Amino acid sequence: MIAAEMESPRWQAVGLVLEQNARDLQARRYGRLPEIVSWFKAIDLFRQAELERMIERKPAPVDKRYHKTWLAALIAEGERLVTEVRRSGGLPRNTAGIKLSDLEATVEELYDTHAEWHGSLRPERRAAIFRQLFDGPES
Amino acid sequence: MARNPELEAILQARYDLETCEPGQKAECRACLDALILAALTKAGKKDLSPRAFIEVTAAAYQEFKLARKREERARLSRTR
Repeated sequence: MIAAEMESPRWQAVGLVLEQNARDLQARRYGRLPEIVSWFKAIDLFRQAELERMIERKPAPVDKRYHKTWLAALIAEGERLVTEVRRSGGLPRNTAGIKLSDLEATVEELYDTHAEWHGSLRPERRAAIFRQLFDGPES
Repeated sequence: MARNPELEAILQARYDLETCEPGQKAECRACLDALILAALTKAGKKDLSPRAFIEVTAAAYQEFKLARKREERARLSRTR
């Protein structure tokens, strides 16, 4: 299992939650809205790990690898949820106020995070465009 | 911390999107998209996609986010 091989308990926690969510989904255990809430909770855990392992310190190659892996899993899960909610005609009114458009916006947020950390632009190109946009060196 | 006010507003909008309640995501997304579009238009870089803009401002955002988190922790420790 991937989670057992990880060094950071933060990444391990994200992996364990994603695995549990996948098991619950396979067993059709809780229904659509709880699945969506679990996905949002997994994103929160992922953001905590990202802060601790990628932002507060210089990320090691293994951190970048697990960041990319769990991010891809969250995007895939989000896309699946969006597809299912669209197919069923939207979400019923709920106390959390979550709508289909919130799900879609969150998937886009995760794609942004992928571009931020794993995009294809070289650092020099990023810096050059940044200067063109804001007329100053990137801090 | 970002120094350009336009950039600062965009980084704040992105941070708001990441940290808002799930039921506010669409609203925060619309705000971020509008700010990015305005910045691209003003800079005459409408050929640059919003996602490429995110990539270009990645380092500034990470710096911004770290500063915000440190402020939040300092605020929390003062209230304890």
